[in-house]
Amino acid sequence: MFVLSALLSGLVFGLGLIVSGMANPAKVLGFLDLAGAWDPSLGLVMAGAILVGFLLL
Amino acid sequence: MSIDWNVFTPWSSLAGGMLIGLAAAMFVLLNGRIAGISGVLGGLLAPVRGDVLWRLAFVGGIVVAPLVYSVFLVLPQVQIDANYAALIAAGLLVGVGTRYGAGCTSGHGVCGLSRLSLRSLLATLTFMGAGFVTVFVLRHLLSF
Repeated sequence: MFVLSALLSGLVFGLGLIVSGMANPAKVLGFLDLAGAWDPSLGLVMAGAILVGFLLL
Repeated sequence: MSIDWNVFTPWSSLAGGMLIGLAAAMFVLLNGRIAGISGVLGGLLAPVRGDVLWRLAFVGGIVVAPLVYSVFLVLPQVQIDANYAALIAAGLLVGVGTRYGAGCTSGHGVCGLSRLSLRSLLATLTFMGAGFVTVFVLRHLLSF
């Protein structure tokens, strides 16, 4: 049971990484590069994750 | 600072973030564990009997996610500019850093902040700040 729920949680987590674009290191670097062409996407990933986590926990 | 509107993906990133939050909440509610990827993975390096299978299952879920995704949709392009030596060195540094910080972007950034943990807020601000500085130094001062 715990194994199945862990597998499912990991799967949803991984799908979230892909959908959010965070499976692509270039997008993470784009967020960290404030002085370059800035990609704020990671901020929205954090916001969405924290919002859902906050509401469910 | 100028936003690169060509690469900014607000909606998919928000949706993906919500999936990550859902996964983290599921893990806490169903397994009673904080979904800190570095910690879950790190626990496999010093295995304790009865504490291995759920770790493998969680990490396995993340690893098969691209396979599952590709059944329904075309996987997005991934761009990695670093060579293997740099990737291995970077991975080791991330491991050391997450041990010192007792968590990573998932444990502190998602789970900790969802629970309004001050410790996690300080950790997240610190590693994000360090990330900003590191990228600035590497890209703009040393032009890597």
